[in-house]
Amino acid sequence: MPIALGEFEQLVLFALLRLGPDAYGTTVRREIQSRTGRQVSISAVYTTLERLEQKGLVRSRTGEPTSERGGRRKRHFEVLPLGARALKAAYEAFTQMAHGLEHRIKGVPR
Amino acid sequence: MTRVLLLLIRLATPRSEREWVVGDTLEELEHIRRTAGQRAGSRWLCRETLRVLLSAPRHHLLVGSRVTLEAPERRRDGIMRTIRDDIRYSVRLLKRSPGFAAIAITTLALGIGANTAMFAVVNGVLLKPLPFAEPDRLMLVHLLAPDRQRGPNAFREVSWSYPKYASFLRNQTAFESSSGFALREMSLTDVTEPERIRGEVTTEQYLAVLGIAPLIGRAFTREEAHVAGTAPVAMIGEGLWRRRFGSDRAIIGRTIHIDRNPYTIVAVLPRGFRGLSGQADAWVPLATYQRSWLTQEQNHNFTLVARRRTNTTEQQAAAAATKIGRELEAEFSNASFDGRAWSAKAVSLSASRTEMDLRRTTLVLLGAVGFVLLIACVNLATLVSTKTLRRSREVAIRIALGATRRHIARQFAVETLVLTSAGAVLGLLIAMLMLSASATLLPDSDAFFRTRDALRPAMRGSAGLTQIGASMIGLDGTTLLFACGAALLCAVLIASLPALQASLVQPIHALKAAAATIGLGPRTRLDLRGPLVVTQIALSVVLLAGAGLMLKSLARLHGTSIGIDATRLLTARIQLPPGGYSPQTSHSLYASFIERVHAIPGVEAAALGSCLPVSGGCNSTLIRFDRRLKTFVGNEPSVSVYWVSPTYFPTLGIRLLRGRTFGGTDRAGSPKVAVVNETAARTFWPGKDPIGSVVAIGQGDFNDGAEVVGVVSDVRYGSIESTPVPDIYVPILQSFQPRAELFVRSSVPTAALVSALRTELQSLDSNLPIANVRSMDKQLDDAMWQTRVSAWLLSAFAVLAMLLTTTGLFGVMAQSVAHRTPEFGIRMAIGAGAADVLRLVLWRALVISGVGILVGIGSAFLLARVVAALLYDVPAHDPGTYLTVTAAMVVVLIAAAYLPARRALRIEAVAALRSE
Repeated sequence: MPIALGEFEQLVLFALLRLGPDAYGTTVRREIQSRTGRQVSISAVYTTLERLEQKGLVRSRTGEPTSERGGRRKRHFEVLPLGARALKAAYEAFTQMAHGLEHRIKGVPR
Repeated sequence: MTRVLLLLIRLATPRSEREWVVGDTLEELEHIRRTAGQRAGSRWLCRETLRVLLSAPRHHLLVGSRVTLEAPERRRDGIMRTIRDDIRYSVRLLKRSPGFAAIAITTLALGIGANTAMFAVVNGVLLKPLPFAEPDRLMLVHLLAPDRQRGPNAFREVSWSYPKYASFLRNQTAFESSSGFALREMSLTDVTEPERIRGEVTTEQYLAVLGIAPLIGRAFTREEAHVAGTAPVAMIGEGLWRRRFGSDRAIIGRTIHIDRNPYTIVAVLPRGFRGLSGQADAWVPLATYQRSWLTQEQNHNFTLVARRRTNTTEQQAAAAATKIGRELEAEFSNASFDGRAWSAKAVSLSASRTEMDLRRTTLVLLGAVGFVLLIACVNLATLVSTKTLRRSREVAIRIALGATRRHIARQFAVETLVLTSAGAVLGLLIAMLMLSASATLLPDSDAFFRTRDALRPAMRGSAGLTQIGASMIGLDGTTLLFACGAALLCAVLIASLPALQASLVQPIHALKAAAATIGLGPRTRLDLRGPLVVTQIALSVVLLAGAGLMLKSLARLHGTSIGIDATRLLTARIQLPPGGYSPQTSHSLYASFIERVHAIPGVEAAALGSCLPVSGGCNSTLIRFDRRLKTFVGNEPSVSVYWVSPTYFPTLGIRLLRGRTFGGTDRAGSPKVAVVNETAARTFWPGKDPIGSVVAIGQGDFNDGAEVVGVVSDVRYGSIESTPVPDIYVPILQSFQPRAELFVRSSVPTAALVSALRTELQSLDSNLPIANVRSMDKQLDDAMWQTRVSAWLLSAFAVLAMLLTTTGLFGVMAQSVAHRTPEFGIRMAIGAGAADVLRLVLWRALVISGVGILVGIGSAFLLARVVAALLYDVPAHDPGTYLTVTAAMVVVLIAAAYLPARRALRIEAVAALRSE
């Protein structure tokens, strides 16, 4: 039975999927911000990434330092098959639940 | 700004995450600055910092430790839980070594308790704001009169007369309200036993200025204070209300008789309020008490207290006071009376609060008791470090099981804090005990905060304020905070040594290290025991030196003769009520009374005077030598004047040097005569004989001149330390003096004598009480109380310090011997004799003691300046004291080293080698 994902975890996983293996904290956060409009702190992103890694859904590797980061390295995250499966299950659950309700949802005032 | 925010983000992030989090933040910041501008970047950073800070706790909880892979919701760990566990563990450890716990907690309790008690004194007397509304706006306004005795440009503070005060009220704008008050002796005369109390004569704004509301009733009205003839009213204090009226709620409207005059009670004032003099039990309005004061321009009686406006600073108020002084000068032309213009000055109430000496004494004592605590902490630190080393195995195991160094250190800190907290709690109890004990042991309020300089009568205002301060001594919030701070400081001091050890030592070397040594590696060791004991010895030497100087000062005070024979001399005060006696009736009262007292069996001598020796001094006035002049110009010299009965000089044992003293013929109607003391003779008639000269003085109706008939030896009326000043004595029977001190020399026990005196006086006037009965010896004792208390306390501290230091040295030496026993064994095996071993043992002790004493004496020299002002006739660098202190310390330290040295002598080579 695939692991159940929290809502923010799903967003992060989607971002990782889109960004590919070079995804790291900043890019994930920017992706979420530009697509959903949510301003999230970097700690929230890392919290979720850590938890996902602990559950075995993603894996991380340390990257190269850059001067604009003050010589600090980056930490890249990549979705693992388990994570992809979990995301798929979440997506399917969501779409099943939402099936047929698109018009109703779009009609709800913002 | 950016850096600060980044630092905050750094600190809020768990260590393992810092690199990427900060890196990402920097990258994002740069991106935003590039695309949206510098300001947008800063704005974003602010918001980001806030977000990180808010989500930091959760982040920490979920990410902090990687130990378990459980779902984060199950972790309940937090800082608080670990501290709770640490406390429980510490208590368990302490229970396992009750001896150590008892010693440590007792030592800490005594040290922290003594420090807290001393701080309570400092707080009450110096620091705590006075118990009035907005006390920082209250000021004392003094008139300044030229002080000829101190120099051509010196002024002394004098009180106000009513007309001048009225002028002040009319002309000033800097103060929003003001009031005058004067402390007076009063008798309550409506019962069988007249009671002597003190009361204040005030104007109507007194309570308003101070911000005190009556418990019951109302304050005085303007008419009662300023208009003669209004119905007499009075306010009484809570103590008097309780004592004499049984806290009768219907007290308002009842009558009280003060000095035989009836007053209607209009108010009861709150408990603890004794007026600004700190001694009053009743208050009467000015006009009612003494209407003559309303018109006498040069009768100065009042101290002026005023509240400055909220928008006026202290400097502005002081400047306003000076201006007022000039205006007063123009209106009252004091210069014509005194030769020089008067002025005025305003001083804040808290600045007038204590005299320099008392302030210095309390601070010195606080420092001294702090030293004792330091010495105790060093001992405890060594003790704790020994214990810690014995636990090094346990520590090593814990580290192996995964405890971080930080956790071990934290647990250790908690242990020490538990110890010091227990000590602090107990210490607070001890402080309470000490404070209540000292309250009963202190001399009575008359002598309590007497000034040492008799020539500053205005300082009597500060005496009252200090008395108020003294009543505020107790355990309150500030003192509790101090106790907590002391406990914390002790914890830091005690824990720092073993903590240093733990942080540097490798576990394997810990097993081999001795107490208070820090293993920096397999061979190097940092032995801190020696320097620690040196510090203790130095501190003890400083304390000993201070105590020695104080004791010597006390001895000098005791040895100083004040000019009279104080043995078996009893004193008491008689006060004639204002308006109750005329000069003639007072003379006949005094004469009859002295006759009757002489007739009491057992009385050897009796006399009346106007001033008690070593009481702070009494009246002074101007003296004039030229018979042609009829008035005082104002630049005449000043002299202290005393009214005495004929038997005064023989009763007190004052020697007659030339001429004669007063006799029965010197009474009203006879030619006026006077007697001067040797200082007056030397000052005013250098090289000549004063006998026969005619002098006039500004008081006592001697303006027309009196003939000097005798010269007597000096008496110190001010204080024991003050040098004698010119005195002149006039016969009490030739002048009017409503207040007289009775001196009786007898071997009759005091109680019997006092009741006999009372009977005799009341047979002459049933309303006259005898008050302030005291033996002259006690008066002398009280005059020395500050030095005596300081000497006592410093000696106690010094003895305590020495005890602790010898314990410290003893411990160090015993450990050293025990540690080096194998070494001694080897030495003895290859031929060293007992004497050689002894030399090795003692050498270390000698070096430590020598360095300690040298450092101590050096520090004592430097600190001596602090105590110098408190000493009498003892130079701050008195060589005798320092030599004695050194000798005492050497003896004590030799004693401390003796036992371990002896043990070293008894070492047998084989047993020593086996003990390795």
